Amino acid sequence: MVDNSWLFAFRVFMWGFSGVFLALMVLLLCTKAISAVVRGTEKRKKKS
Amino acid sequence: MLENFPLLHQIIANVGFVHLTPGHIIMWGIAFLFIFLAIKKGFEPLLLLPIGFGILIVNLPLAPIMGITEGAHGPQRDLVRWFYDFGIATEIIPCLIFMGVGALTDFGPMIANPKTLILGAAAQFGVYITFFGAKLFGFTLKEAASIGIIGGADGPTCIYLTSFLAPHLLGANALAAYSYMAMVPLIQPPIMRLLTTKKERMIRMKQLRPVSKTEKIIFPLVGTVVICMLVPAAAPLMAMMFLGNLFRESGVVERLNHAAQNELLNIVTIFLGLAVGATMSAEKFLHPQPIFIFCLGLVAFSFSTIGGLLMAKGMNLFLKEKINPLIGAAGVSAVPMAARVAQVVGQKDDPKNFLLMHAMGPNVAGVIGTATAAGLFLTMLK
Repeated sequence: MVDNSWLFAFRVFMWGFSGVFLALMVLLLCTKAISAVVRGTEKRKKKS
Repeated sequence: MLENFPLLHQIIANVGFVHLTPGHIIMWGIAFLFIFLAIKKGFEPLLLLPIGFGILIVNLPLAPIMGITEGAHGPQRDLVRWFYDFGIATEIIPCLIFMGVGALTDFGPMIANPKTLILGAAAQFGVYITFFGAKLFGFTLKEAASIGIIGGADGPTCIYLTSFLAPHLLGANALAAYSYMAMVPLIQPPIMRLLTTKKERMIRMKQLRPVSKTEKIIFPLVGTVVICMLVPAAAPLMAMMFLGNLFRESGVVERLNHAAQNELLNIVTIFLGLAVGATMSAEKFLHPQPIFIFCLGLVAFSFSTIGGLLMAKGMNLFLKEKINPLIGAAGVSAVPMAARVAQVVGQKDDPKNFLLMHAMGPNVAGVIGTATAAGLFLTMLK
């Protein structure tokens, strides 16, 4: 029988590590979005 | 004979030397070692000096430094106990340090190349591997998490998480974290050379685009909302860091920015160092546990470096514009030391390769990654 605490530790490992990736991936997408919007606005301002 | 002179007897009984034990002397040795490393070798002197002094004074027998007694008007605390109970046990000091870190940090390189956030996440690999390793050594899950976070190479986050999950390990964990942060230039380069080819180390990266002020102002606001909504337990650290960064980038609160990165940061660093050092009394510290923690800290740090490097190599399989895998090693948070190490190792093979600014991206991403990992540990284990 698998020791419950090891099973729980494995879950913490899996959810924790993938959680860090997920959080930073969301931040990555948001950062890209900020840059796109800001740079787009600045370009439009320059053109006009 | 002394019984005839009760006051003299009382004075002699209260002289520290009478109560000195070999354990105290060993701890003095450790204290002097850290003070020596700080002064003579320049290893993280801002922290190792007060920590070393804290270790020394808490191991002076009978000195009222870290005690707490029940008095007529509630608990009576000794001097450093106040710093500990109201600064560290309440989590205030690590969060204020994060405000200072935010005020000192330029997120520009990360905003210019957001892919580096992935490297910051990958460099948390060591945190989770060591979490397992510590469990293997017989530590509880909470203790294992607080030991694993040493791999993030982020002192305040390590103290923040440890004081929640395993306050009895605070001294050993903090000392391991700051010691390894100081030893980044010794630990990382062999691993970096082992896992990369000369050709990879010589990859030159395109110069980063300039990042506008507007982007730098919006980033901490969006970062606060995103990270604190996804991992609310990381909010105290992340919110303070992004507030400090907003002070810096807004350009309208120069006095607050200056205070956050100078006076405030310096003051809380004194309290933090002393209080952490003072948790290391001989009775609590001289056990096999701290030695295991030091070994596991090294494992954590090494695997974090490996995680960042391998992720950078993996990303290169899919990217048109290759990244130099050395910057992956900077995903451990030790800012800016890890980025400098990437630069130095890169320049050994190509002296005209300037990696510093590229490495600052994963370096600051690593700070966010470690705080997020700490928040997730708190969510799952608290």
